[in-house]
Amino acid sequence: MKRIWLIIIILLLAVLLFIFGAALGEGTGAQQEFGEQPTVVPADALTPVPTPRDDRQVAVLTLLVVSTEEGKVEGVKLIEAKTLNSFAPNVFGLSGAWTVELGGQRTLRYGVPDPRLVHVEEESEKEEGAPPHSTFFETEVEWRLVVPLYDEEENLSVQTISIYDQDGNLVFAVEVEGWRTR
Amino acid sequence: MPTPNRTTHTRWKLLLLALAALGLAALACDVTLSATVTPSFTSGTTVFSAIRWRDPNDAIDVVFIPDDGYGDMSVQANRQAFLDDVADMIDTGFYQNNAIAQNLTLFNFWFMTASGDVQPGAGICPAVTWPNLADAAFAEVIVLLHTNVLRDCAWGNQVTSEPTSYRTVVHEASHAAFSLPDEYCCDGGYWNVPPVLYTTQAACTGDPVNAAWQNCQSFNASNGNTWWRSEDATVDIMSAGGAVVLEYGQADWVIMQGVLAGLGPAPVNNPTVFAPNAWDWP
Repeated sequence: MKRIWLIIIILLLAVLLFIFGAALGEGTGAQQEFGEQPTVVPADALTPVPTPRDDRQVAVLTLLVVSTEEGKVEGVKLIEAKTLNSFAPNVFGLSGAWTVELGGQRTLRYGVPDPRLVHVEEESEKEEGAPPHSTFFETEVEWRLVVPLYDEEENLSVQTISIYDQDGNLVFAVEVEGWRTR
Repeated sequence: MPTPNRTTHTRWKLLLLALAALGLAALACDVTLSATVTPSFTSGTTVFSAIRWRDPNDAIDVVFIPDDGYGDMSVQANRQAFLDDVADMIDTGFYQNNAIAQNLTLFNFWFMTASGDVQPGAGICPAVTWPNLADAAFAEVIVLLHTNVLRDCAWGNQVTSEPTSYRTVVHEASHAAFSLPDEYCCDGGYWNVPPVLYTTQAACTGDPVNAAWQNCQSFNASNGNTWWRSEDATVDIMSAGGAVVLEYGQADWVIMQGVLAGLGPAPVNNPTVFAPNAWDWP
C-alpha cells in the first residue's frame, strides 16, 4: 500500500514539473506561446537603465570620415574620444564591410557597416516589393563609434583601436591611454 | 492515541492532497513573464526601461528617443504620448516578425527622456540634432521618433523614423543589431556574409550551410561588384520595402541565431515562419 502511494506521489510530482515547465516556457527552448503582447511601462514608471560595475567601460569615438567620390578614404579624423562606465553594445562576432581591431592583451576584431553609406527612405519604400531604402554615399560623414573595452567579465586592457576599410586598408588608429573618463 | 503506522499513512495522504491542490492551482494560474524587473542597482538619468527582460549585456537593446515635437518629457502626458508611439512601434513593428517574437525576451526596449530634433535638411537626409547619447552607449539600435513627415535616414545604428514606419525600423534594426547586409539590388551595403551573400558562385553553391534553401543568384551592385545571394529572389525584410513587417529568410536566421546565442545563457527559439511566408502576432 505504501508503495502505491509513493508511485502516485512521484507521478504527481512529474505532472507538476511538466505543467510548470510548459507554463514558464523560457529556459526550455520551447517555441513562444503567443498570448498578449508584453506592454510598455506607463509614463509614471521610470526605471533607469542599469550601469555595470566600475571596471566595465566603453570607448566612444566621434570620427570624421572624408572620402573621394570614387570611394577612397582620404582621412579619418578623431573629433572626440572618451571612456564611459557603461554596458557595451554586442559587437564581437559581427561581420561588416569595415573592421574594428582592438589591440591589447589580445587582438580582437569585429565588423561594422561602412559608415559612409547612409540609408535613405524613399517614397516607394512603402510599396510592396520596392527596395527597403536607397543608399547614399557621403564623402564627409561624422561617425559615432562605441567600442567595448571589456568582453564578458574580462577587462581587455585595450591599448589601441584601429579601423580598416573594406579593402583591408588601415584608415585609422589611436591609442586609448589618456582619454577623459566620465 | 493513533499508532505510528496510521500516523505515517495519514501524513502521506495529506502530502498527496497538498500536491494535488498545488497542481490545480498551477493549472488555474496564468504565468506571465514580468518585463519590468527593477534592477538591483541603478544610475543614469536619461534612459529608462520600456520593456526590459534582462541586463543590457544579455539582450539586443533598442533605445527610442523622442523628437522635441513630443514636448517636454518631464511632463507625464507628453511622455505618455511618446511611449504610446513606442509601444505601437514595438507591437506593430518588432513583434510582427516571427523570429523576434519567438525570442522576445532577448530584446530590451528603452526610451530616453532627453529629446532630439529632426527637421528637413538641406540635402537628402534630415538635419538631426541628437541629444547626448552617453547614457545610450550600450544600445545596439537607437531610433529617434518624430511626428513631422519627412524623408528619414539611417547612419549605422542611429535611425530617424516616423512612428508608423514599422518595416523601416525593423529593417534598420536588423542591420545594426545583427550586421545583416542588404539583399536588394543594387546600391545597398554588401559584404561577404555567408550564408546570405557571397563574392563568388562557387562559394555560394559550395556552402553546405545553405543546402536547405540554396538557390544562388547573382546581382551586380552599382559599384560594379557582383554578389551571390543564396536565397535567390526571396522577398524578405532585408530585400524589400512595404508597409507591414516581413519575416527573415533562412540565411538571415543563421546570422541572427549566432548573434542571439552569443548574448548569454537564454535559449534561442527558431522561427516557425520564414520569408516569403507571412506571419502576424496571433
